[in-house]
Amino acid sequence: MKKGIVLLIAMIACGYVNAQTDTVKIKTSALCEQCKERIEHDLSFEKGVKSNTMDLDTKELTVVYNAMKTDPQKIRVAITKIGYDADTLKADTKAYKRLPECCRAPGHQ
Amino acid sequence: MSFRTILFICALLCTSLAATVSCAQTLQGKVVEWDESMKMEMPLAGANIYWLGTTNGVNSDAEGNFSISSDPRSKKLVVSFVGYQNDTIQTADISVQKILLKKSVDLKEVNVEARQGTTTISTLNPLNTERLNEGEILKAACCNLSEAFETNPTINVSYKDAVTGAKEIQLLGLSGIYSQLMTENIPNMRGLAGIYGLTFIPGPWMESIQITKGSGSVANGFESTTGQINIEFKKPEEKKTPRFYFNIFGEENSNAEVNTFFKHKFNARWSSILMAHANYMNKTIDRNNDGFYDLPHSKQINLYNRWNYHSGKKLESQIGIKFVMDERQGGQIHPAGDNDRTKYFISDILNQRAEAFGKLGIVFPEKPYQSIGNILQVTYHDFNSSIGLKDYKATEKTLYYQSIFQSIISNTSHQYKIGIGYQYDLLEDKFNLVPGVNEQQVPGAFGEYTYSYLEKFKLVAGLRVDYHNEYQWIVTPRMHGKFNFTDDLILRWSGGKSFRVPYAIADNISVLASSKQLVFDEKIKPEEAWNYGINLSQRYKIFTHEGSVTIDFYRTDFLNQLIADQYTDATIIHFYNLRGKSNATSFQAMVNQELWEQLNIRIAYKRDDVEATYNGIPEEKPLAARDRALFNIGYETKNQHWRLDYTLVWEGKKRLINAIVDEHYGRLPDYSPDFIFMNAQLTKVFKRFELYGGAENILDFRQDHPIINADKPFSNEFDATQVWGPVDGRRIYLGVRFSII
Repeated sequence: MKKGIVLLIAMIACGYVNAQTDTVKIKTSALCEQCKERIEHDLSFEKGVKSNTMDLDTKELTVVYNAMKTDPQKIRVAITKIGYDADTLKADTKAYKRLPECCRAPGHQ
Repeated sequence: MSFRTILFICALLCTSLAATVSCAQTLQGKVVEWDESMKMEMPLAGANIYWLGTTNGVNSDAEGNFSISSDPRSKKLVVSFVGYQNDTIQTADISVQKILLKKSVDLKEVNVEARQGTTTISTLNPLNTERLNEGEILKAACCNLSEAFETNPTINVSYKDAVTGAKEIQLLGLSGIYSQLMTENIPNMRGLAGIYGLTFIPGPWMESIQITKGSGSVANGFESTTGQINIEFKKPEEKKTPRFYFNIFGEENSNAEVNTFFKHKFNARWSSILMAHANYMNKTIDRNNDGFYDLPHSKQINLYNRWNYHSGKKLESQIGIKFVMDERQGGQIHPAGDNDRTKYFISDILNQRAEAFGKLGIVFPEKPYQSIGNILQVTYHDFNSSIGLKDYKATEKTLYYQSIFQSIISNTSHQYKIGIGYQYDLLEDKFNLVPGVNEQQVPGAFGEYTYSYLEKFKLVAGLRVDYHNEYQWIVTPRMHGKFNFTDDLILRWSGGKSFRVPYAIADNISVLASSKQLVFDEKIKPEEAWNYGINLSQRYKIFTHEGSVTIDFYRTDFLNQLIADQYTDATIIHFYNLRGKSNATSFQAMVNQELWEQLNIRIAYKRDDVEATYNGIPEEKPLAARDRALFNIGYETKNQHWRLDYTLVWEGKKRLINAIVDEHYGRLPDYSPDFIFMNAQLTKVFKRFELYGGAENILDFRQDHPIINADKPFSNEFDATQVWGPVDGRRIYLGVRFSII
C-alpha cells in the first residue's frame, strides 16, 4: 500500500514536472553568513534554479537546477551578477560595489 | 577553525607514571588567554573545566588555576568559557599544566541554523522568557505592537471600549498595567503613555520581543507584577539590519501606513538608524448601525533616531530620541463641520510624546564577566482627551536613571549585580475642571546574586529597596531559577513582590466612555502584589522533527489594589482600595511542533481565574475570558519564496456588567458568548521585495451593538465599555516591503 502510494505520487510528480535536475558545485568568494544568505536568496530567483545551498566552510555553492532551462555557465554568470566570484569567473564590478562592506572579498576594483 | 593548545604536564598527587591507571588523581592546571594589547598571557578566571560526558566539573579561580579530581568515566577534559573556543584535552598522557583558550572569532555574527524557530525559549535563561523574533512578528498584519501578539497564546489584546480605540493586553489574566513594558531594557510606556503605548511601536521597527512571565529581575524596578515585555528595535550596529527599508500597507477599511528606515555605518565606531512611521485612517464605518464609528479616525506620525558607538575595547554607548504624535477621533458620526460636543458624543484624543535616552556600557576586556551599565531616559507626554462631556488633560514628565555593576565572586558560579536607580515622575492633570498634581521621586538600590552549577542549576535571588517620597520604604524581594533535568527538560520557577502607584484615570481611561459618574471613595494607596509560578518545558524530536511542550502555572495575590467597581452601582464607578481578596490564577499549556520540514504548528490552551472583592462580594473580573485556545499553522516553501500563516483563536465567555438595560436590546446577559476568530496571511517573496496580504477576522465575527443605549449618549444609561468581542469586522489588507541589505 505504502509503495503503491509512493509510486503513484512519483508518477504524478514526474508527469507534472518535466524536470531533469542536475547538480553543480561552484566555488564562490563569499565571506560570511550574510553572503550565504544573499547568494542563496538571489540565486533562488534565477530561471531554472531549483535550490541552492552554500557550505560556509568551503565557500562552495551546491546548485540543483533544471538542465532544460539553465546550465552551469549561466549559473556562474548569475553569481557574478550578485557580486561574487564563481569558480574562475570574476564578480561583476557594479554588483560588487553594491555589496555591503563586510561582504566584499579583496582583490576587486 | 581548529585551534592549537599548549599542554604541559603538572605534578600529580598520584605517583603513578602511566595515566591510564585509575587511581584517584587530581589534575591541576592553569587556564590563560593571549592578550593582544598587552602581548602576554593573562589568567582566565571562571572558566569551566569538566570531564567530557559528565557533570563533574570545577571553575578556574581568579588566577586561572584549577584542580579537578579524575573521573573514571572520562579521559577527555573540556575547558570552556563563554565567548571562547572550547578546548578538549586528552588526558591519556597526563601532565596538563597550562591551557590557552582563544576568543571565538567574530562573536557578534551568530550563525543561525537554517531552521531556527520563530519563537524560541532559551535553555540557558533562568527566567521564563519567550522570544518572538522577526519571523513571528511578520506573521500578523502587525501595524504595531498591539498586533504583534496575534500568534502568541501568552498575551491577548483587546479594545478597552467601543469609542476611544485604546487597546489593552492581558498577561496571566491581568491587565497590561501590571506588566512592565520596556524598549531596549528601559522601562517605557507607563503612566499616560500606557493608554495607547502599544500602538506607538510600529511593527517593522521591532527586531524582537521578549516576553518574561512572572516577577522578573529586580534590576528593572519594582513595578512589574505579572511579567515584562521587552522590545528590541532594529539595531544600526548589526550587519543584518537593512541599510534601507520601505513598507507600505493598506486595508479595505482605508487604513494606510508607511514605514521606512535608513541605517548608516559612518565608520568602525559610529552607526545610526533613522526610522519613521505614519498612518492615516479616515473612512467612516458603522456596520452595526448604532450611529457610532466602529473604529475611530486616526493619524499618527512616529520618528526614531538612534546612534550607536562601539569603541571595540571598553566602551559601548547608544543615544536616541523618539517622537510620536497620535490623534484619534471617534464617537458618534457627525458632519465634518459640526463638532458640537453637546449635540454629538464625540471622542477626541491627542497624544504627543517625546523621549530621549542614553546608554553607556563599560566592559573590562581582561574580565569578560564584569561590566558596568548606565541608562538615562527622559520623557515628556502630553495627553489631551475629550470623551463625551468628560475632559481629561494631562502631562507627564519622567526621568529614569540606572547604573548597574556586575561581576563574579571568585568564579562564574557566583555572579552578582548591584545597582542604584532613580525614578522621577511628575503628573499634572485636570479631570473636567479638577486639577491634580502628583510628583514622585524614588531613589533606590538593588542587589542580585546568581548561583549557577554549570548549566544545570541556576538560582537568582534579588532584593530591591526604594524610598518613595510619599510612601516611604518599598522593599521588593524577588527570586527565580531553573533546573535542567536534562538538556531538554527544564523546570523554571519565580516568585516576588511588586509595588505600583496606580493612575486612577489613565489606568481606566475607558470609564470615560460611559455616562457613569466617577466617585473616589477614599485616598488611593499604592498597589502591592505577590506573584509566583512555575514553568516546565520539554523539547523533543519525533524522527528529525523538533517539538516542544510547555506548561505554566502562575498565581498573583494582591495585598492592595485600586478597585474600579462597576458592580455595586449601576450609574457610578467607585474607586477604592481593595478590601478582601484579589487574585489571578493562570494555567497555560502549549505545544510547538514541526510537522514536516517548513511546516510548523502551535496549539495552546490557557485558563485564567481572576477575581476580586467588590464591596465585600467576590466577583469575577469583568471582561476577562476564563478560557482561551489558540491554533496556529505556519508554512514556508523550501526555496523561501512563499510563506503562509493561519491562526484560529477560541475565546471563552466573559463576565459582563449588565446592570444597565438597553432600551432596544434589553439587558445584557451575565456572560458574553464564546466565539472564534481567524486570521490568515500569505507572503510572496521576490528578489528585491516582498508582497503580503491577508485577512484578519476571516469569519467577520462582530459583537452586535457593543454600545448600550447608543441612541441616548447623554442619558445616564450610556455605556460603551462592555466590549467582549471584535467591533471591527473582517479586515482585508495588502502590503509590500522592500529592503536593501
